[in-house]
Parts: sequence; structure tokens; C-alpha cells
Amino acid sequence: MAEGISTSNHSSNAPAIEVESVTHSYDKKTNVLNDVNLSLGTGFFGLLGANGAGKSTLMRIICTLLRPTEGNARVCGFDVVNECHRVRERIGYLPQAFSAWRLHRTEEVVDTLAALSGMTNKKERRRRVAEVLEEVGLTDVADRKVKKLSGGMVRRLGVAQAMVHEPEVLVVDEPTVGLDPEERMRFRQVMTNMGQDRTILLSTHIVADLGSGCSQIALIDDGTVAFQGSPATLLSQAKGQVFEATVPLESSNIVEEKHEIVSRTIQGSDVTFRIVVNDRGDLSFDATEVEQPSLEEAYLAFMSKRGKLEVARQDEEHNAPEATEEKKGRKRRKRKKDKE
Amino acid sequence: MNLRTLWSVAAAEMRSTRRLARTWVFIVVAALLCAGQWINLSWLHAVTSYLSPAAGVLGPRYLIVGFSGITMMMFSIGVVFLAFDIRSRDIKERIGEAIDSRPLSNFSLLTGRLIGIILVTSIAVLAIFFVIVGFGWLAESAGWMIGSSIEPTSVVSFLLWDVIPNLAFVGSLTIFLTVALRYRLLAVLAALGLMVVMFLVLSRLPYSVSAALSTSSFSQVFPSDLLPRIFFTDVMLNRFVMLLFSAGFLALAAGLHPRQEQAGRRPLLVGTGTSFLVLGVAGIFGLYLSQTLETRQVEEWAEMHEKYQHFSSTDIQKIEGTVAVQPGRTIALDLEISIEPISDEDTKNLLLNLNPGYQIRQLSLNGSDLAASDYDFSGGLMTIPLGERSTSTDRLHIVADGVPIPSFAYLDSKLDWSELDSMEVENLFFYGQENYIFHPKYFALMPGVSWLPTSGSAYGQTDWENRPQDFFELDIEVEVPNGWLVAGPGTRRLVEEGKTTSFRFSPSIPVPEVALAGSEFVQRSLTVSGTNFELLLNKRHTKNLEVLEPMVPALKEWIEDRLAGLNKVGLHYPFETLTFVEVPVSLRVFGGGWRMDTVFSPPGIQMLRESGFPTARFDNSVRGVGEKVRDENDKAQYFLWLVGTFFENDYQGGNPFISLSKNLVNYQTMPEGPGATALSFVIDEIASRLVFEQTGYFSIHMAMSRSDSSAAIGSVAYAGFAGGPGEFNWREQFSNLPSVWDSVLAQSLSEIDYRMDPREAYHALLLKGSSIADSVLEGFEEEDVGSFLSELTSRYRARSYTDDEFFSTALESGLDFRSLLGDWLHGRGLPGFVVADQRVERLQDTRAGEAVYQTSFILRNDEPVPGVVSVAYQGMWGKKRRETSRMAPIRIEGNTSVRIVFQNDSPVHQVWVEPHLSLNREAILVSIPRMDDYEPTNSPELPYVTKVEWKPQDADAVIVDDLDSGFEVVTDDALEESSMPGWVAFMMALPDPEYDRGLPTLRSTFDWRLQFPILGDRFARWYRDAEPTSYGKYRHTYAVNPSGSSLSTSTFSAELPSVGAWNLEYHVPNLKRERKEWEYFAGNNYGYRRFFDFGNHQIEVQAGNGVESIKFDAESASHGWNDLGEFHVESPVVAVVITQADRVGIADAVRWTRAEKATN
Repeated sequence: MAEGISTSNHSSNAPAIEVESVTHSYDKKTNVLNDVNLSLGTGFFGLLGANGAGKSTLMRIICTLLRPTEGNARVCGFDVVNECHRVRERIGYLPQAFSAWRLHRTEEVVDTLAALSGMTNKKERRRRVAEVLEEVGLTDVADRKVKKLSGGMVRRLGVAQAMVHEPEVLVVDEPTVGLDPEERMRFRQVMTNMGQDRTILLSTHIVADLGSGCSQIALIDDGTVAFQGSPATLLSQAKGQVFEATVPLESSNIVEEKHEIVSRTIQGSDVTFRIVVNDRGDLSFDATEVEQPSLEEAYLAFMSKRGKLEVARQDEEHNAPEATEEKKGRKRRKRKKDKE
Repeated sequence: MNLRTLWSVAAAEMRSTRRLARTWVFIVVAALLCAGQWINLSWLHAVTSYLSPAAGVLGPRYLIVGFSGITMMMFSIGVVFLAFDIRSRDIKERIGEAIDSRPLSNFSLLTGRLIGIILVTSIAVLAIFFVIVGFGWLAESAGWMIGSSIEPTSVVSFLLWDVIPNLAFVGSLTIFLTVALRYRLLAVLAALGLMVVMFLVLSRLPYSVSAALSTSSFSQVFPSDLLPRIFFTDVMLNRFVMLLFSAGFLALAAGLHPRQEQAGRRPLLVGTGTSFLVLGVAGIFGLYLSQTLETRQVEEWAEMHEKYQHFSSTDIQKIEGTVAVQPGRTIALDLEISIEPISDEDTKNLLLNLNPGYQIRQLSLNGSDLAASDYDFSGGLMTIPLGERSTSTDRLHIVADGVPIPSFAYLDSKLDWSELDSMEVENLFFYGQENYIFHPKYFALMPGVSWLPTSGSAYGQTDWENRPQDFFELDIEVEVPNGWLVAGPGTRRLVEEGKTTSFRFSPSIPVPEVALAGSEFVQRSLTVSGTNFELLLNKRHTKNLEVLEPMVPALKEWIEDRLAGLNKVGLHYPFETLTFVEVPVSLRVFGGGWRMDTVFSPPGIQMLRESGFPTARFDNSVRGVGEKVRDENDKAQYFLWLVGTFFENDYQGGNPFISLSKNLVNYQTMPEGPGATALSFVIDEIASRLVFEQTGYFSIHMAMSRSDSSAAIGSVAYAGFAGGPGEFNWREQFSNLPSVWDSVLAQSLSEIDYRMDPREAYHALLLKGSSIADSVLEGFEEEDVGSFLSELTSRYRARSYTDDEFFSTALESGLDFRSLLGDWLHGRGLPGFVVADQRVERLQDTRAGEAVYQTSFILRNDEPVPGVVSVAYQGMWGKKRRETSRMAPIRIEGNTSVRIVFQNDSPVHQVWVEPHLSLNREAILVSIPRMDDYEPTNSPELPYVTKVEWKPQDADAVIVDDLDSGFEVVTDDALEESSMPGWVAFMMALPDPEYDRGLPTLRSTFDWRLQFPILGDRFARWYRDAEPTSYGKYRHTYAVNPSGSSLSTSTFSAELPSVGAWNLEYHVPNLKRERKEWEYFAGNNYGYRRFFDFGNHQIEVQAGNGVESIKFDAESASHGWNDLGEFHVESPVVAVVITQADRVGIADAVRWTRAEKATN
């Protein structure tokens, strides 16, 4: 049995990640994943889905932490169950709830995990640790203990540990949860850079995290893959579902009560709304169709079609601080509506 | 799994572990314990090592022995608490999944982490010992009073064979339990519980197998400077088995681990783990079986040799030839043995014993080579048919080589190792475990291992009652590597120096056995009056030679005195050279047979354990002496005394004063037949006192008793802390006990069955034999005794004598033993002495005007057996006591009385009669009346001893003593049930209760029952104690209840001759009297008795139909008889019951006297 990084790369023909008919159940009653099929090549791949949709379960299966109840998954051509060791040699994983030994220094954490990944050459390891810390922007805090790092730094540390052994596949689970906007932006940049020459599978319920570098998207809903394709495809599917309307401020309540608002902008005495509807006929006022909806709007439109707009929106808002006020207003309105 | 990966995981774990607070807690606690123990041992060694060689084994040099157990326990517990949460720690730190996704197998992950934990712990152990060793070296170099380094190879062995395997075992077990049980707390409890079970099982294993199964190296082999050893086959096998278990636990844990594992690997891991565990169990069984088989082999040898134990027809006359020793490799014998069969008609075979480790290369009898089929050599027994004999003396030529099997030794040891509990006899370890030593740097060939052929079987060689000792001439050349020196019987003469060096040993007289010890010794010698005294020491142990250098002139003078004294009485040391040779502390001190006596004094040799004289801190003893004693002669005398008491206090078999005297008589001639053992013992005692005037104590049974061992080492330690050298009367402490007296009174010396209870037999022999030796030396002139021994030796040299021959030789030499002591060998009777008519009067002053006080008393021997007594007294000088004066010993015929008189220039303070062996058991305090003013009288000065006609009169009173059958103690059932649990007594090393006429006795000054009366009723029993001022005819004892509790009552019952008015008196001993100094050193509790506070006694007098209760204030009562009042006795059966005392209860004796005749 050989351990450490394998020197043989997988077949260039094989998809980086291949999931075939994977079903998983924790309690043998409810399937968390239900006949999931995915095939990913090189690039930045986004796995979108609401909380509890099954993203993390799928990630953990791909990362060999969980054995699928049915079906199989392969990473770089290696089966995650029968060849988990080979798979582990090829992946870097940033778990959703990543932290590290609180009393260790940043550099030590990465060094330790690099060693556990099979980087036994100390000199090479040190070089690589420095490099990866530089990549994630943690060089300045390399000597700082983990307990003194900010949440964003810890996430970046997570990326560093996942990347340190230069895996062919990087699996990143909900990496931006709890980060402030600046850190999110920085994180997106790091992911985009890294996605140039390897496969990155990033799971998130925040569409904005995918950024412009994302080449493929899969939407997971209730344990099934509801959509798999490029962002452009998703955007194109949203055509005719996203509208913009400007109404006087005093009439804005009517719009908000009747439609699912994606965003609103107050300009003087008017408010401009972007609205997602399944059918233009549903609109009760004049609105202009948005020619180029955002990915977030496309996602909401897609979910709206599946009748899951509220769930999708809640997840989005849950982790988007800038939307807090809007969320509060919507809740207020909803309570009022319920009373009526 | 590869090593780099493992190391990566281990390094990661080390990083993590060393940041855990609990790691440091354990390390700090362990470091403090280690350092504390080292300081404790260093201090103990500093202040006690020069008091007794026995204290040396507790020195810091051997710290590992005493401390490995607790260190291992500490770190094992530490490992449990480090290993029990290795996974949950990761989960808590939220790094578990990141680790789980690493390309590591579960087995690698768990093994690596365990290695990390072990390394952190081992490095801590190493660091602790490194500091201690470093400090020890510094202390040694600087000559500090305290401090010595630890024997370095023992540290390495400890780390290699104890720390790593044990921690691996405990750690892997914990990891397995954590994975299997899932609940961390449960896993910890289970791991600790299993450790306790394992400890209990290992500690309760039979001694014969415990060494093979023990997880501690230092319960098997003592560290030694002379034998630096790291690799031990048995230990390595044992640890291999432990590692099998560890691997098994880890594989099982990996198989059951919740982390995903490669498909198909889980069953493989579980199967592998189970296989390893099965192999481990098989390994344990193998070790057990191997040890059992070895024991069985020894038993088979013993059975085989026992059949021929009384075969004494092969009488070796001479052994000559060469013994080529290649240390650690082989011994080659090329010997010519002259044998004279004792009985021509019956003798058809020659019978010899020789260690079965030898291969016979050539054997020829009377010049004819014998084929292998012509003789039998199996199990160490060599049988050679004699066939047609042409000469009376047969010459046997043996060429053999090999390495003697260590277990072929002391086959007739009385102790059954397979029945002894290893924890109970843990102190046996300090008496050495190796029957002989054969190491590349050292060899000690002991007679008991039959490295040289000797006559008959190897069983029962000390059973002199049934098998006479065989003596033979010796003329051998011993070949050793260049630079080596050899200690042997007598003078070592250099024969040849080439590739090897040859020494010749040819003592001028026949010897009964031969021992050789060789190494690259440093040699010092001293020739006094033609006898060479040689000291062979390890080159690292010569410091004391410098320290004690000032002693040499005094030592020379002392030796000259001893030799002159010997010559004066016609004795002489027969071997020209007496070699004191250093031996490793692991060499077994005790031999075989019932006695298992010390084997450290073979002919011409005195062995010195390296832990004793060679490394004792005499420098500490002499610290400051130079300032106090400026006179060189005084200093030399001090050193001489110091070294003398040092050796005398060796209770672990190295005391030359109880062994060297064998060279004078018993190594030249031995008794045989009934009473031979007792005779040889008494002769040794006499010879020893004639030469040295010093004695000692050695009994391997002390090691069998935790309480005895603790008492012995405790008294040495106490003396060390209390301020300096002294003598410890262990003989008295361990032999002057009621049970031993019962044995002495029930049988004669020749009737003692040594096989039934060797410990008691030895103590009976010691008690009676040493008293007889005292009596002989006091009853006869020393010159006469010496001449007798000389005559005995020359008349029976190289052969044996019977008891009749002994007594007839004594009589011819002017010693009438029977007249002095009666039939002390075969008779059971003892004399018994009573004192009466004590007087003191002032005579007319001398012409110089000095006062003369005449003290007299009658001493009667009221038994038919004669006895010898000494009389000692202390005079007064004003209010100060003078030193004790001792009068000439007096022999008193049976049933006769003498008046003993002596004069002094002041009234005497105390007078003691000290019978050496009598029914009195203790010295008799003669109460001398005191007066404020002594008027001079005209009485004449009387001679010292005058025979008088005096007999004790039958008193017209009924006295019930505490030793009488009328004295009874009744204890409440509840109290009986509240006895201290056995395990508590065991842990506290309390002595077994010693019963005297049915009551337990107070044995020791440190008896906790006296010191903790606060414990109240729980220990409210009545004990019996001896006190010269208590009432009694021969024995003066009383009963005492330290708590005075009503749960245990004592009753004096009597049947009076008539009813009517009777006076009742109660006897109170004087426990608060002034005592003689030696009373405090007899291992008794006299010192504490003065703190007894008797208080009020509740007494019920049953003298008829009713019961009358009275109170008696014993505290303020006068010593002696105290009137309790007059009672009307309605029935002749009366009883006096002491129901309660508000403090210490006491019951000595009651006296009923008719009222009309009552007197005070």
C-alpha cells in the first residue's frame, strides 16, 4: 500500500468529477441525494442549492468522507469508495465548517496538513506553504496563531490547506459563509485564479459567490440535479422572467405585496424594482423586460419556476448582509399580509 | 504505509499534543515525582549508605528499579488521557474533515498519532532523566553530599524496553477502546480499569513466571555498573508480544474507525488486528509456557537429584587441571579428579554433579577413555560405572566446555517459586536474581551452579544430618583474558601471561566448594602477619579507598589483633589470602537448602555487592569528622568502627562477621548426623565471636515478609535521619518472639525440623544457638574454647564428625558442655531464674575514706537444667548514672540458689541479671531497695558468689498473673469483625500478629496501634507486653488495652481455698521507670510505654452471688501491689473483671489474701 501523492495523473479523457446515479440516505427513510448525476471537467464549477438541498452531502461523498448509499462517484477516474486513497491524493477539500488547531500558527497548520497530504520533503513543503500562503494573502499572518485570525483569514487558511499539495480537484464547501463583502470579493478572486488549471467544485447557496470565473453550474434541489450547464444557459432560461418597473414611492407597497422583488432602488420619489415572474401576464403594472438578467436573477427565476423562490431567496438573504434591511421589510410585509 | 507518512502524522500529532495543557500537567507531575524520588533516594543514600550495605540498593544509581513502576504508571495514565480523544479533538477543532480527506489510511493515521504521543511522552521522560543524570554527574564530580547519577544503561533500557512498549500498549488499547466504545469517558474508564486489572494480575502472579510476564524490565534484572546491559532476550520477547498487542489494537481500531477506508480494507484490518491479538495471547502463553517449562525442568532436575541426595559414596580427593574462561562465551574444563569411593563393596558407580550446560568432550577413567555409552551424563548427573577396580583411588579425566545453565542451581531450595506471590516477595529482588554471572566484562562462578564437578548429586548438599560434607584438595589453573584478575580460594599465583593470563589456585587445605570471580579489577592489598588481604574493585568504584585511607593503620592493627587472638587460641586463617571482591548487585546472595544461607563467603573469598562498600557514601560519614577529631589515631579508630558497624548491619547477606569465620572451622571440617546443622551453627557463632566479637543477621525469609523488610530498611533510614551510625539488633527483633520461643521450648536443637518451617526453624536456631554460643564463651575461657576448635579442626580436617565426637573432643579439651548447659543439643529443658532477698547496705569506708556499698540478692535457678547468667549494674554518681558495669558470668546448677554480692562506691541505680537462655526470656530487673541515707554497718565484705540454701516459699495467697490460665480476655463480636482488612495491613507492611499465650503482642516501636489510639474502639484489643517490673515468676508480662474500651474485657479468675473475708490487690508495673539504653534498641516499644496514661479502671469483683463494682485509678497508684479492699467471698470461685478504663487499660496480676493475714 503506497501513501502520499501519486505521481500518475488520471486519464486526460476522464472527467475530473463524475457522479453517476448517486443516492444517499442518512436514515434509510429520506434520501438526501436522489439519483444525482454530474460530470465535471477542468474549470470552476459551481454547485448551487438551498440549504439542505444536499450539496454538502454530495461534496462529502466526492471527498471520500461519506459512502453513497447507491450509485458511484469518481474523481479523476478513481472510484471514491473503492479507491478512496487515490481520490484523496487528488483532491483538496475545504469543509464548510473549517477551522484549525487554535493554538497552532497559520504556517504550522498548512505545513502539518501538507505533510499529511504526503509532502514529506521538508524543503519543498516549506516552499509550497509559503507560496500558497502568498496566494491566499496570508503571508503577513503566517506566524499568527489561528485563534487570532479573522473569519475570512480562517477561510483563506482553509483554501490554503486544501491547495497546498496542489490537488487536481479542489472541493470547496460554502466558503463564504460569514465573510464580509470585501473578504467575499477577495475569495472569489482567489477561486477564479485557481480555477484556471484545475477543477474547482464550489458549493454555495449564494449565487454571487460564483462570480464571473464560473464555467459550469449545477443546481441541486431536494437532492436532485435540477440544472446543469453554463451560466449563460441559465441566464438564457431566465429570459422573459425578469422585469424592471419604476413606481412612485407611495405605490411601492402594492408592487411588493403582489410580486417577488429581486431588488429595488429608490430614486427621489420613485422606486425602481426588479421583479421575477413566471409569466409576464402576472404583472399588474407596466414593466420592462430585463434583457440581461444577472446570474442571481436567473437562479431566482429558475427556482421560481420550480416554486422554490422563497426558499432560494431566504438562503440568499440569510448570508447576504447587504440585503438585511430589505429582508426585514419583506418580513414585515409578509406578516401584515398574513394578518390580512 | 510508509515511514515518512508515519513520521508526518507523528510530527503533526506531536505539534498538537505538546500544546495540550494536560500534556504539561502530566510531564510536570512526572518530573516532580521523579525529581522528588531522586532527591529522596539521594538523601537516603547520602545518610544511610554508610550505615548498612543493604541501604545501597535504594541509591539513586538504581533509581530506575524503584521508580520505573510509578513513572510508567504516571505516563501510562497520561497516555490514556492523550489518546482517548485524538479524533474528537479534531472534530472539536473543526479540522477533522480536512484531515480525513488526506491520503492516509486509517492505520497510518492512528499509528502515526500514537507514535507522536509516545514520542512526546518519551522525550519528556528522556529530558527528565537527562536532567537527573546530568545533575548526578555534576554532584559526583563536585563531591557534593547528595547526588549520584543513574546507571546510564538502565535509563536506556528503561526507555527502550519499558517506556515505549508500555506506552504503545496502553495508547493503542485506549485508541481501540475509544473507537469501539465511541464514548470517550467510557473508553477512559475502561482503559484505566484494564490497567488496574493488568497490574493486579501481574502482581499476583507466581514468582516463577512473573519475571517472564512482567512489563517492567527492572523487576527482572538489577542495573549494574559492572554489567552494563541493554539487551535482554526475555525482556525483548516480552516486549515483542506487547507490540503485537499494540499492533492488534491499532489494526482493530483502524478497521472500526468511522473514517472511510478503502473498500475491502476494513475486514482485512479487523482480521489482521484479531490475528495480532491472537498472536499476542499466544505469545503470552508462550512466555508463560517457556517459564513454566524452565521451572518444570528445574523440578525434574531436582527430583532426579533428590533420589541421590544421600548418596555419599563418591569422595573426591583432589581436583586439578585447567579452567579456561572466555567471559561471556564459554568455559572449558580440563580436569583430573581423584576419587576415593567410600564403601568398596557397595560402590558400583561414581556419582558426580556437573552443570548440564557443559558438553563432555572427553572422559577417561584411570587412563582408559570412556565412550559416551560407557557413562551417563544427563540432567547434570554424571554416573560412571566403576567396573573392575585395580586401585583404591580412581582418577577421572574430564574435558568439557560450554556455558553453565543458570537455572541449574540450588535445586534443593526450600522455597517453591511457583507458589510465591510476586508482590509479597517483591523484596526478594534486592537479594539478586542471577545464580551466577557470565558476562563479557565479568564472571562470578558460584558453587551452587555446579560449574565444577563435585561429588554426589546437586541436591541436599547442606543436609549434613544425612550427607557428610565432601572436602577435596584443589590445584587448578584459571585462564582469563589479559588484564583480568580472579578471586578464588586462597592465593592467586600468576602462571603465564601470553594471549591469555593464567592464575593458579592451590590452597593448602582441602575445601568443600570453589567460587571464582573475575574481571578487570583494580587491586589493593595489605599483608598482615603473613596473611594477604586483597581487595578487588571495579575501576569506577575506588573512591572509598581514598576516603578510608586514614583507616589503614588502625585496620592493620585490628587485623593483627584478630590474627594474634586466633593464634593465641590455636586457630589460624588457612588460605594465606582473603580476597574481598566486588560483585554485581544482580548476583543472587542466597543459596539453597532449607536455610538458603548467604553464598557470598565461599572459601577464601568475601563478596562485596557493588551497591554496598564499593559505592557507599563514606565521604558523607566522615564529613566534619576531620574538624571534630583532629587526632589521626582517633580518626582512624572512628573509621574502623564505622566500617565495622557498616558490615555488621548488612542484613542482605554480605556481613563478613557471620560468614568469614566459616574459614576457621566449618570450611575445614563439618559435623554430620543428628544435630549437625545446629552444631555447625553454634560453632560458626562461637568462631565468629572469638574472632570478631561481632555478629549479624541474615535470613532470606526477611525478603518474604514485607513487614520485616520494611522494619529493617526503616530502622536504617531512621538511624540515618536521626544522626548516624549505630547497630541494629535485628537478631533480637526477628528471633526473640513468642512464636520462636514456643518453638524453642517445644523441641531441642537437634529436633528442629528445618523443612517444615524454615523461617521459624532458623529463628529458633538463632535464638537458642546464639545464646548457647554466648553461654559457652562466657562459661569457659576463650583460650580453652579456641583450643577446642583448633583440636576439632585438626582432628577431623577434610572429614566429618558426629555429635559424640564433638562432645568428647570438647571434654578432652577441657570444656564440659554438659556441666555448663546440660544437654543443649538434644535436650529441651531450659533454666529459669528467680530473684529474692535484695539488699543494699553501706559498709565501713575504705582507709582512703571512700564509701563502700554492698549490694546483694539471691538468684535461684528453679529448673533442673544448668544455666549461665551475667550480672550488670549501674552505679550512681550523685544524681547521675554511671556507665554499666558487667560482672563475671556465673554458672548456676539446676535447682540451686546463689547469693550474688558486689561492692561499689555508690548505691547502685539498677541491677540486671541477664540469663542467655532461660525461661525468663528477658533480662531480670533486680529491684534494689533505696534509702535516703545509708548508715555504715560493720557487715563484712562478702564474696561475689556464694551458694545458699533458699527456695521460693509457697505464699499463703492466690495470685493470678496475666500468663496464668485464669486470665482471660473476652472481646465483643462487633470488635472482632472490625479488624483491619488484610490488604490495608499489607499495604502498610504491618507485621503478622505475633501471639503470646493467645494475646497479640506489641512488636515494634513503630507499632501504629500505639500511635493511633485516636482510632478508638476499632483497635481496642488487649495486647501482651513484657516489662521487668510487672508481676511474674520467670516471665514478667502484663496485658494492655491502648484504648481501654469496654468492647474487650479482661478477667482474672481464681478458685480460692475457702470462703470468707479476703483482701484483693492489683499489681501495677512501673512503665515510667528509667531504662537502660539498650532497651531502646531491642526493636521493642519500650519508649512509648512511658507515654501510657492509665486513668481510672472500672473493675467488677465477682466474689459470690453479687458483683461489686469499684474504680481503680491506675495512673496514681503505686507500682507494685495496690489494695482494692476487702471482699466477703461467698463462693470460692472468684473473678476480677476489668471492664473499662477511661484511658489505657492495664492488667498485670491480682492477689487474693485472707483478710486476717493480709499484709502490704
